[in-house]
Amino acid sequence: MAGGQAAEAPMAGEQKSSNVVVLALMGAAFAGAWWYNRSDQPLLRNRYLTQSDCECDYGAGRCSTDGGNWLGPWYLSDPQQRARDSNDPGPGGSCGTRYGTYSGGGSHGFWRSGSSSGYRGPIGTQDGYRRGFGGTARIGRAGG
Amino acid sequence: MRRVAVTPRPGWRERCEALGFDFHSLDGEPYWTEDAGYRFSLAQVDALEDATAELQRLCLAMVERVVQCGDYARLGLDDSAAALAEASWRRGERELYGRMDLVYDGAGPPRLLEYNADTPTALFEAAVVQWHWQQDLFPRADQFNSIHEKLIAAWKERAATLPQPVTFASVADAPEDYATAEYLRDTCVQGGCRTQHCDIGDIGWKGGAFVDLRDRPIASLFKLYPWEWLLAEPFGRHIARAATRWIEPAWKMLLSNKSALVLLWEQFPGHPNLLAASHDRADIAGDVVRKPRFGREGEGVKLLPAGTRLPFPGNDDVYQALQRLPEFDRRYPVVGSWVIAGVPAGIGIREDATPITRNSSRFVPHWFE
Repeated sequence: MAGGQAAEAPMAGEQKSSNVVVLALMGAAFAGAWWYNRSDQPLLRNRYLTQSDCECDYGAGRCSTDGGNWLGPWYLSDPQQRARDSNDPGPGGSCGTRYGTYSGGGSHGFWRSGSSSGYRGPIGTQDGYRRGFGGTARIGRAGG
Repeated sequence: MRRVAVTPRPGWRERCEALGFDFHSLDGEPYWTEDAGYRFSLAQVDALEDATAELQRLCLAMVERVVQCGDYARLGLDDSAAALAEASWRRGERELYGRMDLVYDGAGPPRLLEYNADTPTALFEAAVVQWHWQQDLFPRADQFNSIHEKLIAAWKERAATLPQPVTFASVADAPEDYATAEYLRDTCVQGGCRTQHCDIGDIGWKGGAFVDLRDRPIASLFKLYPWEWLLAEPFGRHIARAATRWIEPAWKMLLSNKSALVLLWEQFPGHPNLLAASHDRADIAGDVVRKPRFGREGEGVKLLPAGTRLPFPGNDDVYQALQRLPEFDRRYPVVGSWVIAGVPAGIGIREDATPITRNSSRFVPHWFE
């Protein structure tokens, strides 16, 4: 069996509590010495006015809204790093052109030629190579 | 099994806080209570320990079967989640901890209500705070609680092969989660590992690796953050190609999911430690409890009397035969039975004034003689 460990049969009559419970970090020594300054922000994602503008660049299901604008997926801001990452969704912004940048199969606008009329490109970008985890905790409890 | 009135220790709040347990009260209401305790016999504790060991065996058999059959869709897992879970199982990644919530009245067999196999909390109070309580008030008695020792032993056993440092990540503004992660970090340090703590949101993705706040690759990551959330969030797409060792391993997704209750019942129908469960309300006669597949802390749990019709049943709902919690002094206790490195390790009891245990339910210590 891979993965988990099989349970062992407990021995009858043995003490069932820890002999000693000593803490090394918590209690009086419980302090936040692990916080460091954040450094630069080499990830970006595009802001769009509408969902269709965003999906024209990245395809359906890859955009989300912050309540105002629409946001594309995160991509590496460094073009050289981006070129080495086949999973990177790219910087978008070229829907409807021959030279779309969506690396998962070309610009969605290119493949849906003719559907990009009225397309407006990104209105800006959002920085961040952190905060890619933690968002769901705003609406629920992680532990239970 | 009895609920016994107990005189609280003088200065119990200060005693708790000296241990680092500063959430003994939440939103002005007591969370930790020591004006009562649950008293068990040795035979009852043995029954809980044996049932936990047996349920662990069933759970691992269920995971093995799912991996063999590739039946991930019934657990609501998409292809990427299934691939992660399966790869971690086949690599033999070891589990650290989990909490089985049992209904037990001291007489009949303990039965599994649900298994929080991924992100259980209420660990520190079970392992440390109630141990000190028992030492102070009932030093000649015993307690089913070797959680602390078993955690340290588990880390010691892995220290030589676990990539380090081990980063412990949790949601910083959730004090219970933070305390759970910090307590586990404490045991990890005592097990001989190098560690650090990080807010889950401060994890970065850079150069093809998850990185800490100093931009160093995260070698091993204990995350008090559910797998289904990680996978749904922006960095989720990086997980499969990151070298990070995850704790709990991804295969625990198969057990922390309430659809596991359905699969367990199908694989082991009529087992005395299980309750009938199905995705179809019509499969279970009598009263049932409806649970969302990924709910925590009683979220979305609803009691449905026999004959209740649901106009809009959810596809992700699980229906479990209702076994009423025992009532002691108008309180309904659930036994949280801890599994550390695959072995039964102890219990913590939470009780509520209603038959549904929630995040506001109180922790009550126990002992046995």
